[in-house]
Amino acid sequence: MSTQCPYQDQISSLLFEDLDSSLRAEYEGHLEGCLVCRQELERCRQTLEALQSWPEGPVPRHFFVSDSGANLGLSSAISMLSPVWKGALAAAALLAVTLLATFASGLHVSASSRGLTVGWAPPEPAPVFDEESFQQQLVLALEQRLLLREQQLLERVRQELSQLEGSLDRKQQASLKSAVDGLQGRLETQLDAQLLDVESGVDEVALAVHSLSELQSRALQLLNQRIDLIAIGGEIQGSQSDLLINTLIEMADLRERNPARIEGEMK
Amino acid sequence: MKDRSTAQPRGEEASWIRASQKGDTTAFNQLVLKWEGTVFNLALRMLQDTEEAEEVSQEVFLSAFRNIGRFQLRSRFSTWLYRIACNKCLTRLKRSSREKRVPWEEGFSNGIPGLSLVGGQEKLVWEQERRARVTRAISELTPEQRAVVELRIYQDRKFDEIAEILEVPSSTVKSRFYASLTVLKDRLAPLASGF
Repeated sequence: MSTQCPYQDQISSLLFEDLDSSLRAEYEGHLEGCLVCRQELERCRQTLEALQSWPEGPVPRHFFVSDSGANLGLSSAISMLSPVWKGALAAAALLAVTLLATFASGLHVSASSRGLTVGWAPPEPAPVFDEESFQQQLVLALEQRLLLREQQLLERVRQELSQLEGSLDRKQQASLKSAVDGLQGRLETQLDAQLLDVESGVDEVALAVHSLSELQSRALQLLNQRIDLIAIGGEIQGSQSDLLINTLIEMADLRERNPARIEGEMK
Repeated sequence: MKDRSTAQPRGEEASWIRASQKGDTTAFNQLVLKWEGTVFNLALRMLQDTEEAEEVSQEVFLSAFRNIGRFQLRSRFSTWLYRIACNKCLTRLKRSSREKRVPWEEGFSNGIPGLSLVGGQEKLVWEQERRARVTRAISELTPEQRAVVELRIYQDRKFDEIAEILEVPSSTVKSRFYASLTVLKDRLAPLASGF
């Protein structure tokens, strides 16, 4: 909208800001003689009225926090991680996907004089990943790091001050003590803000974990489809196909619980 | 507009906070009862999705409970809670900006909740249309602009407090607000004259 009056862009502040009395009087005086600004202010009022026509509705349910809910779960643990630790977690998730892909790629079907052979050979032993323990360690490390940083900073300030104390009178010392207390307050506020800021990334990592779960499901699905295709091709009998599928599913379950227990090959 | 907590917590709210800081979930749930309507409606207006607003509200209170030990009683509880709620909503909005969203009002096949008591079919239809326009207008704002509009218009917070909540300079808050107002005026001002 083109400005037709120098006051037009500021006139809405009459509705939304605490103007001092002189500025308010100036704007109100201007309004009396300016149609453009009166219309502009009216448009602002109409906008405000339309926005406020959206009343607060009742909550669909209560959002009570329970003792168990207050404990650290997966998403909450992730929510407390710093961007660096979230990166580490994402890397861990990527590693898990890679391992799964490796597992899938290790599957092979070959024909020989003895018939059809389905085999799987792990390229290398898969590490056991204890997710819960990993999360707890990350959270602890994060909290300790932040607190340590705050304590170190305060300690350095206090050391500097102790060297100065001899050369200061009581008034100066009291003033400095007050300043240090203020600094401590600000640091606590900053620490609080940092933790909240870290929480804002929770959904990104939770989404990655969710995607990982979907990928795992998809990989299993593809394995089953692959076996089905072999069966449809008539290379093995239907009963053998079922056995094969069940064995593969068992193998996948086993790997989830304990990768070391998977045998390298089955016939 | 309401102004339930414009200063540092006093009376029963302060005692609930102190007890919550010692891990008392019953006391914390008193705070939930007091603030859940505000938080849910804030999330609903910002996200325009009932399910997401519910999820975010739950996340806000869980987060508040876990961090309440760090809350300083000399500050306003509402400011602290708004900060958590806005951060959660902004994160969601930024994430979902890549996804196609279903307009909020389309999620209610039997009408929009809260409007069934409006007398007269004609008025109901008009109210639904107006609500839909408000929803569409707000959806045209950036996540940061939505947060400022929500806090200024619906939560009746002053610009300085909004700056504290969103941790940006007051000048940035005003700039975002007046940029939003330009968009909203274009979309909503004709409503009062019967569009």
